[in-house]
Amino acid sequence: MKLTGNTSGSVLKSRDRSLVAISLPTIMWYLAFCYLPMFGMVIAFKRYRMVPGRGFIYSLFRGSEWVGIDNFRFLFLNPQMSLVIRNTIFYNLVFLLLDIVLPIGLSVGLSLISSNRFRAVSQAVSLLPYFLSWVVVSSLTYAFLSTDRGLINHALAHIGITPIAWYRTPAVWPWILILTHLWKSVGYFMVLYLSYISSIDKSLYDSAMMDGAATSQMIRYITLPHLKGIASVMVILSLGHILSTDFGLFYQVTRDSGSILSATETVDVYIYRALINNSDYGFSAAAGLLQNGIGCVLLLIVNYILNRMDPDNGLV
Amino acid sequence: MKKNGIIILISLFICLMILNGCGANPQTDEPVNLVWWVYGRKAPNALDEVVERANAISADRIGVTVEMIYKDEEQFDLDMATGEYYDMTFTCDWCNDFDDHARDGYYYDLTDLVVSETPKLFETVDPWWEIGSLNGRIYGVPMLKDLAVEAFFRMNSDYYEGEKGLTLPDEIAFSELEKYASMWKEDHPDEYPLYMTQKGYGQVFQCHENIVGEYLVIPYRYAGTSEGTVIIPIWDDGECMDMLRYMHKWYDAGYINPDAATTTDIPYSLHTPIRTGIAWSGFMGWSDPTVTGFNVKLVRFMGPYMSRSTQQGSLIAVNSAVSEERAEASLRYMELLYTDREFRDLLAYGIEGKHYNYYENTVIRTQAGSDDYLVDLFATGPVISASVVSAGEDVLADSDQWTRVYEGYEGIHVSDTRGFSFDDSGYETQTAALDAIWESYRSDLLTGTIDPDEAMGDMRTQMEAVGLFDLLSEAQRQLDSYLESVK
Repeated sequence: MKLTGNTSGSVLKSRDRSLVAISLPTIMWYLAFCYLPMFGMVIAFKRYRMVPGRGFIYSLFRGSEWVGIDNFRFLFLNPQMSLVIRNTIFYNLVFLLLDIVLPIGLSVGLSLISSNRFRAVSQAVSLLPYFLSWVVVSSLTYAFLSTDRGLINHALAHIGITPIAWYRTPAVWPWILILTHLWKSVGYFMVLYLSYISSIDKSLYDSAMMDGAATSQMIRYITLPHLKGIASVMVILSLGHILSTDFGLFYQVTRDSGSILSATETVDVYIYRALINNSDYGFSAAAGLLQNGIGCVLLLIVNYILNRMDPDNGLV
Repeated sequence: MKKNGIIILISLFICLMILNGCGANPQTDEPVNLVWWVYGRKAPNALDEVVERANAISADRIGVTVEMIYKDEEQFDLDMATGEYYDMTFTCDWCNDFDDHARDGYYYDLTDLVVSETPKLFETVDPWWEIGSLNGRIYGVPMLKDLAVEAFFRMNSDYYEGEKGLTLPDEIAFSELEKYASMWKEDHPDEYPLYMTQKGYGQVFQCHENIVGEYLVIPYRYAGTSEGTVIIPIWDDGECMDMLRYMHKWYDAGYINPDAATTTDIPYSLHTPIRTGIAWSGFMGWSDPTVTGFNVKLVRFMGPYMSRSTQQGSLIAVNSAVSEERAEASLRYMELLYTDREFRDLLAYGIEGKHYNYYENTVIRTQAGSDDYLVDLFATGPVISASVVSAGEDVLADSDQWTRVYEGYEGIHVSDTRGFSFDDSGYETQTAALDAIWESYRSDLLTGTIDPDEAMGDMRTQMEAVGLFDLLSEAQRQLDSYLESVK
């Protein structure tokens, strides 16, 4: 898109030059920290060996042999891998759905409340968990779920129910993980959607009211259509990470319990377990490349589909 | 125009800052200042003060100073892989792997230099040079310490001996722990006598030599027999399996905390009457009643067993990329650590009078020593050349402890693998997949949380699918040909 007509014939006009200068540090930052390191991706196809006395770049490009797709094989050797991938995709799809439905519902509800103070307090309270680290969250959930000292088991004992060894019961973990994820993320997404709702032109609602529209009709015909764009962007971005999960949630909150792995092991946790003892950077790069490669392809496909449905909804 | 100029200038300045951030730190060219990578999760508070004092002494005596950089296991791997500069580095069997790195040519071949440049060092370490050798060449200087694995129960002697009137023996079988655990449980029904973290009783996996991961092993008890060089999967080691079965029984009996497999920490405030640990006879490090809340007696339940991995608890290697001059300086420094007790104590315990005091030829730490300079003894040099630590004036250690420990090694079970180390080149994929399977059961097994027979059955099915037995054949082939070559 042209910002100004190029009447003088020079490549950059004076104003453009200052705009370029302003963005130069960011461009350099991206080049240095996002694009240049991408060449390191070749480590996924090499058996990396450090050459004594040389740096990483020399060792990678000159001192390490090519091994083709050998580094990817460890991901598929494990007979549990299909379960691990199933878990990863299951949780991501559930999170994707709930991260859209719940925050939108809550933000629409909150936007209709006239008390500013109540709205502000609700936003702050629901946003707070987002800023807690997973280590803290892990301790909090442990305080509830500990077999002998946990609040829930104490409560169960009071009403005569035998305490449950939560960290050894796989069936409950999909619920616990989904709840924990929602508790931590709903506030963040809600604030995001609320900011979009508040940017909707108020005159639209006024006109609708003048025409006798009910609240539900205003939500359906004004609010939700305006949120479609941002919701589409959220879907596209989430699908870009379909094979990646939040390591903190699946490793810290589960406290690395082996007994519940059938319900909690995701690709990232598997990679951690496989590589904790041998620090093979080729393997971890291969795993990362595969996760992100598939995510990227999926992102482009969904983006294309959404663009075809409505050109305003696409991300790129 | 003026405004544009300012914007461009500011932008250029920020760009320069970014570029500056990308650049490497300038290296000091001081020939005698050695960069020394030391094992430790966190550098002690008083590090600078102690190193400054040590540098003044070493500069005067041998013309060498050091910059000690503390690293944890992950940092070692990362910095080694990216070619960060160092002169001397901590290396061992379980961190910054000595055999692999020596095989890959990362470490300086010290074979001739150590004899010609530092004959005293050579003489002091002799006859243990094989620990730091690979294929007959010396790539690392062993920092001598306990060389065998001995596992102990750390038992509350105030309770068992004082209150219950028993005499704790020096050694018991693993299964005999049951009576001590049940005794405590009867008196304290709401407590767990074997309270443990997710690391569990890791010593159980030390009854055999680990050949590949922790799942392909050779039991020490077969040393000297025809089975002493036969590699087996862990589930075929009856002794280990029996210990795991006992643990599971104790778990079901309520002796072990139900969430052990997910517990990360046991505070000393929780007065667990029985803990475990790897140490050596005469070790006093766990015996300070002001820390534990009661007097502790060590009761051995396993070992001593010796193999290449138990011997390789601590070595210092020199970067193969450094000049001969710097390699010589490194050796001189190590010689000083071995031959000057006061200098060694300085790096081990801090500054005399501030961090520790001498008492009856042993060392007693001060509060400042415990707070500001508590480092792993093996990380800063040879343990045997440092003074031994007493827990207090009333709990004195044997100052000649090491002579006795090494005398005890004379008749012990030494593994028949004779320094063999498995080379996993070409098998990294399988080992990574097997490690992942192993890791998913490890904590549950070592805390008694799951039935070991069922778990090992499941694990076996999964591991077979990954090719465990191909790996076992390869490891056995490598071991046989190695033993043939060293005949």
